[in-house]
Amino acid sequence: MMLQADNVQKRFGNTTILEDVSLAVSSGEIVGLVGASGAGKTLLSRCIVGLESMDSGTVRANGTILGPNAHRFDPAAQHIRALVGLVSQSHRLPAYRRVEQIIGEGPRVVRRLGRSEVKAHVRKWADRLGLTEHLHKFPLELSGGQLARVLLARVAVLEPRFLICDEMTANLDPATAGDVADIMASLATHGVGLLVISHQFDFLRRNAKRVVVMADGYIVEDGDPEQVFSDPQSQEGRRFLAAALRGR
Amino acid sequence: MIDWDFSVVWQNQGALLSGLWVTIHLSVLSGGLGTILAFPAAIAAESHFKPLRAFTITALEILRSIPLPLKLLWLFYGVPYLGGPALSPYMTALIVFTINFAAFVADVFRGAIRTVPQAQIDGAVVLGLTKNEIARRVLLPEIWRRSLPAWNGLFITLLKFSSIASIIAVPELLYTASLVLSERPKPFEVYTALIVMYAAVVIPISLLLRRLEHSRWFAVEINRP
Repeated sequence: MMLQADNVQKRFGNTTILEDVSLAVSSGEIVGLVGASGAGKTLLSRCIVGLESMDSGTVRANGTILGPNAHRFDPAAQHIRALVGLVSQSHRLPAYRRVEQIIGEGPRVVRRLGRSEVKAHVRKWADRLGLTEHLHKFPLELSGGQLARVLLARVAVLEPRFLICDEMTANLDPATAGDVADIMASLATHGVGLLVISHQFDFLRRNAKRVVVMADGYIVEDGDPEQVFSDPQSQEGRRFLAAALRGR
Repeated sequence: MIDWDFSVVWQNQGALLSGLWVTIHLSVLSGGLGTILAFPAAIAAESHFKPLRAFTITALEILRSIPLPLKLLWLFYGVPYLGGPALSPYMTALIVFTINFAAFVADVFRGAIRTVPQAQIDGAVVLGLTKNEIARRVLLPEIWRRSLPAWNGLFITLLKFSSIASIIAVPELLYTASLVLSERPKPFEVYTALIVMYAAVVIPISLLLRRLEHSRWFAVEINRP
């Protein structure tokens, strides 16, 4: 199965934010998406799951086609979201619900599973993501790394075929970021296709099948991680990667 | 030497307590109904559909601008004059307090709607929740929690201002006290007893609500890490 965005274009007023962006992710593979702030990575991920409408272009997954100018509750957008999960550290959790309720919300409300099935799903994913001992806690009682894992768990529990992880390791210490990265890699080994927006180049080098570099709303590099990181073809790609490596 | 005689309070304790009970259930009922009514009013006042928004905001402004006693008197005396049903004093007070409370709470809710982070709504959309589920499971609990401190203040005010219902002879605490005083003119003792009774109700409720505000069940979203 493949998740495919074709010729996505998005403008705000007269400013074009995404210009003719195309990328594809297959089941079980990790595609890295990197680029400077404002390059359009997050907006592209929002367009893919139908949170933002596109001005032109399409998103396809498993026979569903999401076209331009679709409302966020358009049936095609909802079909895409049933297949493609989006995890972002900017997403916020209800502070008054326990971790168990937060992770169980999708299975209970969206999948409409019974109480015991919801519990089983929550236990399974809490166990996989190392959250079992935190299930009774409230978000305020969690560390940054635990919160990132809860954000991941509440989407992963719905077992989407594709997962977009937007800066899930930003603001985390290297050890915790490594843990979260390992979880993402293990999801891919279980057949989930991942589009990972991250600046953990080492992780992408080790795990990604391809790395896509965006600059000013365009894709400027798309290829094997080793080749993209060591020998970028475009001037924008070279400039971004040189700056990114300098900043590490 | 002051001749204090609190026996008047003791002898009329049954009447005063029943007046206090009317005060409590009138406030709780109108507070509850007003809160329920305020939710759709707030959502209508924040609607993207301009005519609905304009109508609701205008109606809320008018309701808030009329003094509470005038609303009570108008509904009690004016409506039957216009050919409407003659309402009992209690029913009149219940309707007016409910609408009045709803008008003020709707504005609090309206402010709270604006503070619910889009990122929280986006997270729910991405999970696959429908519009109605998001309204019910994300917006309402967040609005309620974000409004609680202001709501508490309004509710305590409602509890105290319910004494205004005495002007249309609702047998609440202040009105009952005036009946007692018409038989035994001991205003200092009776009004002192009223202060104690109001305080005995208002202070525990106020403390309880404040405690609730700080409980983690009423915590609002956080933005970490």
